[in-house]
Amino acid sequence: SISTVSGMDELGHHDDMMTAKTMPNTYQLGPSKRFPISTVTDILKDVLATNLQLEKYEVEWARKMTKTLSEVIKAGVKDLMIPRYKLVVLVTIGELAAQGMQMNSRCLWDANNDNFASYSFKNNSLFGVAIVYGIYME
Amino acid sequence: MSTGLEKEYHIFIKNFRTNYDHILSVYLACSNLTLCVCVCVCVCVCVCDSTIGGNSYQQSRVNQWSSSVVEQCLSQLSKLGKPFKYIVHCVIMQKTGAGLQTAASCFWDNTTDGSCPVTWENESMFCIVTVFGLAI
Repeated sequence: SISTVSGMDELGHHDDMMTAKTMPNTYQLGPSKRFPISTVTDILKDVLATNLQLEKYEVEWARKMTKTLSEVIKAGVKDLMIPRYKLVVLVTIGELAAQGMQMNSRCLWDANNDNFASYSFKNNSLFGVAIVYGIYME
Repeated sequence: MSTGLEKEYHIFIKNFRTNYDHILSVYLACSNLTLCVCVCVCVCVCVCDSTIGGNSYQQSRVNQWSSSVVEQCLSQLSKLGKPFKYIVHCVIMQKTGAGLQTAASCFWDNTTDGSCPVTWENESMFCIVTVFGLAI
């Protein structure tokens, strides 16, 4: 009889878990708020300009800076509270040394709801490019 | 990761340049995210090998190379028929001793979404392809 009781206890516990996880149906078919490209571009412009304006390229500094900037931008965009959007933030900092470079990206996604914002910054020793992709999650 | 998958993983790494069909068949049979990432790496390297190969850096052709790398990666990945949205990002840079540093930061579901950065190089240029896969 003891084993039966313990079995019931477990079952009850399990049920609680299930009800806690279940979400009501929203019947929502599209995003309530679209990915705001211009606002995000402003964030990128602001972050890149303030952090890279007076800097010179150094390997160790760039390693840290790319990470910090991507985190800062992600936090900034998350603060806009765009529901149901996944974010991918890509930051590149490179040295200007008379080299040729080409950057290119292509996406397979829902063109109606998904979008991206990008901004590039340049001073006389380095360039920085930041791209934010916003992907609608159904 | 189970030992069976681990074995497959090593087979991949060993054979990815020569045995492309095998990779595809294993990929189609599995749903493990690490393996998916591994296949992305293989696809990108194969594409870079075939489009750029041993060519040296030419300003006039870089545009064409980078767009065809991106396009072919995307079409190969979409052929796999997995339920992902893909972002393929490609940087081609001439080797002149200049530094380049990239970082990505994402807000997504770690269990279903993943990224794979691939660096490929020949004597005159670097090609860095980053693929992000986001589950639908």
